[in-house]
Amino acid sequence: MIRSDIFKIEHYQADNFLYLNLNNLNLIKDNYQINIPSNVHINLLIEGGYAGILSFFVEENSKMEIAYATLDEIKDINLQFFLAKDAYVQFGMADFSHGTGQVTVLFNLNASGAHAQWKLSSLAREKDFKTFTVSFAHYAPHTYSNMENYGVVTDKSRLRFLGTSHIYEDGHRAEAHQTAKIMVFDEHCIAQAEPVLKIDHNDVIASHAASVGKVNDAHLFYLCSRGLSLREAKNLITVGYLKPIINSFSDEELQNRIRQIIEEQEAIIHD
Amino acid sequence: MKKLEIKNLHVSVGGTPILNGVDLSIKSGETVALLGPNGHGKSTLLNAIMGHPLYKVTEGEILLDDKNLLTMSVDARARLGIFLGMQYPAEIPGVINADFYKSALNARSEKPISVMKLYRQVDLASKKLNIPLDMANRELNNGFSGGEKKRNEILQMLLLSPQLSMLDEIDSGLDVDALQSVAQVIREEQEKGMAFLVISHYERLYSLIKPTKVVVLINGKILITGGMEIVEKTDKLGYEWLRTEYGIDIEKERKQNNVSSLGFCVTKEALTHDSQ
Repeated sequence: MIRSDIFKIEHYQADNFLYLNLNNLNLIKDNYQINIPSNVHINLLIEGGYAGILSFFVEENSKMEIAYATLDEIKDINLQFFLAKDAYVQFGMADFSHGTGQVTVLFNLNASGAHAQWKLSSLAREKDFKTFTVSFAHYAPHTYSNMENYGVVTDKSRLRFLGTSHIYEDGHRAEAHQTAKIMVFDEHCIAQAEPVLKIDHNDVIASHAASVGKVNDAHLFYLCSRGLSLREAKNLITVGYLKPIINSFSDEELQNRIRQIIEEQEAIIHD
Repeated sequence: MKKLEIKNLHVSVGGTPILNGVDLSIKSGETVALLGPNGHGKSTLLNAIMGHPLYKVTEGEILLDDKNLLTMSVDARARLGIFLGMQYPAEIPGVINADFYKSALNARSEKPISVMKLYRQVDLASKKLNIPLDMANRELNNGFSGGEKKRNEILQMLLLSPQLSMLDEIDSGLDVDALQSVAQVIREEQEKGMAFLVISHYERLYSLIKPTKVVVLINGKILITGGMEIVEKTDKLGYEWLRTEYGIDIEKERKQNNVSSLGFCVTKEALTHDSQ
């Protein structure tokens, strides 16, 4: 992997692997803009947090695969994407951080064929209070968005999944999907899943699902009836819930770190 | 296990009494066929033995070799050698079959099972049941057909080798070939001394596995005990013969509350706001 300095990110070639540590941007204390030229394929790994607005302009027919890991302390993050014709952005976020923070992401699908995929696994513990607002604006026909948010809340933490997928008047044949699921482990935690769909055109495809709930009792009984203790059963279900995000990361070292964090969750699961 | 003994068992589900004093004993190597009209408590009995939290034992005892099962958790009963092959096995997304098998086997031994040993055991069991080995890499029962789920139950029975296997309508959803291979597996385990308590509505499964004892559960009690002749008679005549021969009045399908899940500690809100 090329550990590119943020300021040199304009120079890349096809199939580049780039690394961006947002903590380095804090020196600028201003909004920052990254341009991805047309017809390139970029793999970008992001870590850290940044207080300003970070914008990505993805030009025609370019493909960006982004993996973002927040594993330490969460910070407010504001990301904006502007997708040109046939631009493709795939974003996977693994959030196992501590603290209070708001993650706000907006995908502007500005021209036909623009395609955005978002996948998030988030774990909230202790007194964490985390809000994820992931929105998609479909301004053009044949644009596509898909959001999948999975969360686990424990102790006295709070987790919110918000965001709006809006298909505007010009968005005929646009497609928007939202899934937000939160699993709740303790009585004192608060979870909220409120994805919103707005549609201003008749000829679209859209779906919308949200759920917040305890671990399914029938699932627990099934696993316990095979000899797993309640704690082991809950752990297996939680790991199964959070683990698929690992597939968004091609960096093996990071994959292992995330896997380790998920498997260490045994400690937070109570009988 | 030498003997499982159920004495005067009363069980309620959601406040409704279902079992009203069941007496039954199952010895090692025995296969007991459990018959009875729908809604009279067959599945309730199996769930109560396994320890399902929604099936409340209000009176009576369940002893396994003089150990009181009723004070034990579900997983402790399982580790003691009790297995329940369920009528509707849970579908658990995200949990990979192989990881689950490994956890279940590790729960029974001090040393974690090696990958090779797990592979060999799953491979052997899969071959016996004509299951493709790659089923182990799929999510637990998620997206499985009815027959695949039932074979996965029997596969787990083979891996865990319990002392008492309770099979709740294991033959439903199985095609003829699958039924033959499941019956063959049951026969092999019978010879090794595994005890069985089997619910089925069909004479076919029973004729393949030859129960040593047949009991009929009616109105929440076991009222008839005998041999294969009871299965054959019921298969031909339904349960009506019990009224004519024994004068037993069969209650209409008894009301049973649906097993429902628990409350939530928060509520979900999926809002669709009006456009601005």
